[in-house]
Amino acid sequence: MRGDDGVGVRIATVLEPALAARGGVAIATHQLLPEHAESISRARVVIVVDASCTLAAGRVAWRKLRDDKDAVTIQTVLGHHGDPVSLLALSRTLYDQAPKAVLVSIGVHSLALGDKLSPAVARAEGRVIRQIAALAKQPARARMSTLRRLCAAGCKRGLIKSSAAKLSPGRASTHRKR
Amino acid sequence: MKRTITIDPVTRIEGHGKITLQLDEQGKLADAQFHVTQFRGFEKFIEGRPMTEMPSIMARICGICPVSHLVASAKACDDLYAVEIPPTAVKLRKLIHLAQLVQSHALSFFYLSSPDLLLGMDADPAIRNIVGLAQQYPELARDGIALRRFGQEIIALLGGKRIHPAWVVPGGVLEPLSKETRDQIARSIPEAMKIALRTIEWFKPALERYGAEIESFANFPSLYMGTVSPEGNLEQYDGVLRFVDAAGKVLADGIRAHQYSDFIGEAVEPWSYLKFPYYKPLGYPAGLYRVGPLARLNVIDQCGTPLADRELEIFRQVAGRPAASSFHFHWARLIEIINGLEVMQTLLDSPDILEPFVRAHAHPNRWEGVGIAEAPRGTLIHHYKIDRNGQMIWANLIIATGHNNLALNRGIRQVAERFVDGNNLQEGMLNRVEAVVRCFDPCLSCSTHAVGQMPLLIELRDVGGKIVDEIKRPG
Repeated sequence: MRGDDGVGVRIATVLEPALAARGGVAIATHQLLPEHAESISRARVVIVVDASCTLAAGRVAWRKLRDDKDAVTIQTVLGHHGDPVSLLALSRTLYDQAPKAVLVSIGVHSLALGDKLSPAVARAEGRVIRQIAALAKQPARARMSTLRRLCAAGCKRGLIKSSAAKLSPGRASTHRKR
Repeated sequence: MKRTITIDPVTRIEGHGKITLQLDEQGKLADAQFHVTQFRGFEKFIEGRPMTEMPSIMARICGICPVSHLVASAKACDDLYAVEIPPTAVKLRKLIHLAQLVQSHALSFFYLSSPDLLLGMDADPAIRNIVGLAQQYPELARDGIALRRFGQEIIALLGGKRIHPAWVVPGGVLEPLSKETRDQIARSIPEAMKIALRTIEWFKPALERYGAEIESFANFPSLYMGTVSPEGNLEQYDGVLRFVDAAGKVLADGIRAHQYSDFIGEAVEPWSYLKFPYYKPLGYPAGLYRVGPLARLNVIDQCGTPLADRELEIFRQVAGRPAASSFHFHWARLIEIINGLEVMQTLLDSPDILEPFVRAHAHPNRWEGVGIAEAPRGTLIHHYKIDRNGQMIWANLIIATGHNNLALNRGIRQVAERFVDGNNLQEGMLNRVEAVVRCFDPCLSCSTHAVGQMPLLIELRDVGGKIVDEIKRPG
């Protein structure tokens, strides 16, 4: 409904069959909820895809998410501002499991009402879909290596300036089953 | 010197509200008001829209119980069509409605209220929440997550998505149930039942610790209203309305949807956007009544399912019949979850549950339609009028929290009288004021459930409006 804000949900929806075919799960959700901690706890790798207001339109940044049990707060677990680090922490607290996790942020151009992506974000959407689909095909070790490379590239280009990248409502997460 | 304490916003409820406590010169409570500070306007902006759009539009009223609005709205549209929907469609609507009841009650009990119950009313608010609960009682937190997920997944399986599914439509539902989906739901019920039974077995002995709260959390004689089946059993989807008085005597029974306005009046107050429904024969405000899980257990003869009836018997022995303390809303929710799971199993076992006939196609045949359903928080009434083109010209909605508005205000006053000392303001005192609101599980906005994300500010003001003391709770 909010233009580019839906890019994460769109990506998860498109990837669903491809990931399912390889034992993965794609969850398209407009909001992160405590229930997702249980899904996360069963995954080996989690890739969260979300729109970002801090990146330039169409820019894509991959960032490793920290596994910090103390990061969980009421504001970020329950309400409309859930964040993936808190969910990882909740997964660690409740299920004693927190998988490797990466946040893919996609810079937005417009969050006005509408069901279309702006051209730059649409191009980024295609790129991220191809990257995640390729990751799903890789063996576990190669996949981790690729994820490290993608995250390192994001840091090198200075795309991620802070560990607390701003998240907008509307996100999607993908993960591979253990 | 007269002073005012303001609790704004009230946390761990669904929506935006604030509480004002007016103190007298001695620091004792003089008055209490629960303000609903948001305005939605659905009754107005649907004017001119086609009636067929109503279920989808009205579901947007609420992000927690959209299915109840879907169901009540679709029933109002069935009434406008003047059709009887296929029996399988009734069962499928009941199924999705009960799934929502389970997830909504799980949200209220585990996420919003159990931190008070387990960590204590006086615990540090920084840890008195689902996160603190997860750290100290991980098993209970896991159970809460699992039970909520159970309900959400069934809604998604039937309706295509967790929130605002468009599956319930005027005349029935969009699609029949597949065997695979039926089996998938049926497989998940035993585990959900284990959680519900485990939780109620933990909860009952824990009640001993809350004698003071049971005694003073909106514990007063009142009327109760709820829907009952023709047999007098617990019923969330269909049936007739029943009022009982403070002694449990039936005041009015067999009230059909079209008759609601003969028994329910709506008053307004200048300090709240939420109306104040009352039992018409007694007038305003003497006609105060309560709805929701507690009221439903008070108006029914029995639940109608074996496990829930076993628990109802214990409930009535301990809490009385009718149970007057609103603290027992929590217990009533657990019994309703058990009943809901039993009914869901029965529905799935019905021989006609996979029948393909699930929708009656029709056109408007009446100018006016009323749909009533029991939402998790209480009776939900949708009343529509249309023109000859089937376009909406008028709507009146009475939501569960509205029915409870008078009782909420009276309950806040009661608990504040017992616990709030204006000369020595403590966090735990004010949490008890909030906690009595949480017993009712009010859904104020029905679309935002700002849970602890805003700071709680309590201000003590003198008669001139000057702040003389304050307590701040960080967001």
